[in-house]
Amino acid sequence: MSIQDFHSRLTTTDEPSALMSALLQLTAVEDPAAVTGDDEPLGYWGVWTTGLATQ
Amino acid sequence: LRFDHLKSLVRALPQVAAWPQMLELIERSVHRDQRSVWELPVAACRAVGGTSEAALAGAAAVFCSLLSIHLVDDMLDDDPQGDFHALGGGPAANLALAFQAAAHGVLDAPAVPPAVRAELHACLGRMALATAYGQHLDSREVASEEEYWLVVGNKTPPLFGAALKLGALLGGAPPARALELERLGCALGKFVQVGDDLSDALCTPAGADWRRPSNNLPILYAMLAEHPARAEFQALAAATDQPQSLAAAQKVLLQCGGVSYCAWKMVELAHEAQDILAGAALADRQPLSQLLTAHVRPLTRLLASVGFKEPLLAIS
Repeated sequence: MSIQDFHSRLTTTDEPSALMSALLQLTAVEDPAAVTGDDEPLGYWGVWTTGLATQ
Repeated sequence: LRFDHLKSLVRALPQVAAWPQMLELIERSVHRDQRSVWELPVAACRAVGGTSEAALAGAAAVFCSLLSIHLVDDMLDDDPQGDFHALGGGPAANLALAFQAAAHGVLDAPAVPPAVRAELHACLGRMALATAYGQHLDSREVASEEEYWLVVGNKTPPLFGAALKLGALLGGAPPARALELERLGCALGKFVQVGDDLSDALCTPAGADWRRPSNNLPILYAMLAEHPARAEFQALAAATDQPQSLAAAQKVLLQCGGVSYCAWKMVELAHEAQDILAGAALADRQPLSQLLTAHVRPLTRLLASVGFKEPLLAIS
């Protein structure tokens, strides 16, 4: 589903599916940190600790 | 213990052993069970009937490849946290080349039959070229959603696809089975990339993606979807170096549905990966289903926090 199609469905569907209802609830979340998570972050590849290399 | 063994394979290469910056980057790497991309060859190898030990050379090659890609990616993104700031651009690029070559070096394990070894090197070479091309495409701003998916398809899936294929080949899988697992890796790579976009767009201080905003899916959504705050968002996106602007822009990402859209796409991609896995004839599906479940877990938790409690995957 494209961005435009999704946006239309998110904002206009009268009887949304359980998933779409949850995604609508997500638009009311205030804190971005609640989305990304600390212990198990989204989009984790497994790289290295942040910070500049010491020489 | 396995990660230590993997690192020791890389450190055993003579040039690596003599190169402090390479050793430092290896030691700074953080391992996460099931989530680190170098886990993929191990899961694939076991899934086709091989052992974890047989996959170690592939895991080490993926580990080296990721270090190489990451060093270059930071430079392309001008990431404030990038190691090239301390090392210098030239030395960082040289280190990336060294890790790319080291990835091939660790594959020359005597235990691997020569014919398999040739296919491993070819797979790794194709992945490195494909990823470099994807990074090139990602270095300029995309102009549409269609172009976004073109760039993402070239950027991240090659590494994940090759990681599973290397493991499958090391486990003795025939070419057709190895290709199936490569397809699974590509779907997983897209899933991870969308999650990475979300994390970058919502982190504090502003992530590198705000420098090329339309190359990030939730930001692209906020710029393209017809929502009331679109004009305001365009102005905020240009000023995310200021904490107040970043916070306001991130609030719009949530309110306009950009975050929701990413979650939707991740569900789609998780199902795609699950279908590929279900259709693959494997000696043991569990290592890969566990891997997939581990990757999907943060999304499951996110959706549960807004009332969606159904399992996202039929496998476990």
